[in-house]
Amino acid sequence: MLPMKMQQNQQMSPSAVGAKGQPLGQTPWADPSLYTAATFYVYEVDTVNFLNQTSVPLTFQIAQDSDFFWTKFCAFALESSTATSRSGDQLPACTALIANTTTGRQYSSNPVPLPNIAGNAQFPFILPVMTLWAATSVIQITLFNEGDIEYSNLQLSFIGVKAFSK
Amino acid sequence: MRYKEKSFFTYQSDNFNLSILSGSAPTATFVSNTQGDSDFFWEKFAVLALLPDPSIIPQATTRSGDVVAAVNMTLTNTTTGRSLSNVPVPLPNIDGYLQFQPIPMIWPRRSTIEITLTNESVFATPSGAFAIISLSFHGQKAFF
Repeated sequence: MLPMKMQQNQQMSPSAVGAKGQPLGQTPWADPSLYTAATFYVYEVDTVNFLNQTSVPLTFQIAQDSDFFWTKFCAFALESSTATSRSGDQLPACTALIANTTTGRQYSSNPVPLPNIAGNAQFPFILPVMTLWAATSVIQITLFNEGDIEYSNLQLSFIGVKAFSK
Repeated sequence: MRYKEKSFFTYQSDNFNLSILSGSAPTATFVSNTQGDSDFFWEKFAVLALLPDPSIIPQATTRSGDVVAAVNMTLTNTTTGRSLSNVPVPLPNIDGYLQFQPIPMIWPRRSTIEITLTNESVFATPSGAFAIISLSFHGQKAFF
């Protein structure tokens, strides 16, 4: 039993791991009573010819054989399928409302601009706390293009760990 | 254990067509409430500012053309009376989605969060300084 003050500190700083820049320090997928193996994995969901001032719903389903721990998020966009450079990388003027429709949990109060919640491979958005999506969960993303250009490609990468259930 | 579950969550505040030019109306204030089912631990902060195009639609941009909003922010939890800073803080000094704050700022459930933005730059656009300023407060929702 921890001293009371230590318990309070733990409650007041649930993200102490994150505050040290290591939110991935926790490894629930390494629990042998729950999982047989774990591997790096990316759930990818893409859309094409995304017109400005329109919205598009996207869904994907978590595989049946494994849970998924979502830890990082990246977004990539192209205008007119034109290859780009690092400095010319598009900042997609799009918002995303992400929800797990299996549990009913929504991850923001309102749609969030992708540049505020998604980075790139070199500087990905690291979630304050990893998010568990159980096997067969259906994830829904409602995108809205609030900008003044059409994106020929908009690609979202949900990066994390696939943990195979016992 | 005080909380039964925690989840990643973002409180989002979008402010469209702000006429916060440095002339007649440089300041805008917004108020929002945290939800009643959970406390919120605010850990990261990201801001997106887009200028208007000639049709007053937010103008898409690139990473190198990303607008650095010369806007100061005051944030106060008016329920507890606790403020983020002693004086207004420039958004470019505290936003950036990669960084975790030194420790989370706790917004207890049903708190009222008041945000005041003050523009300190001058824009030559007719519709106002920004087509949109989106403030994303990332953190953890802790459910009772």
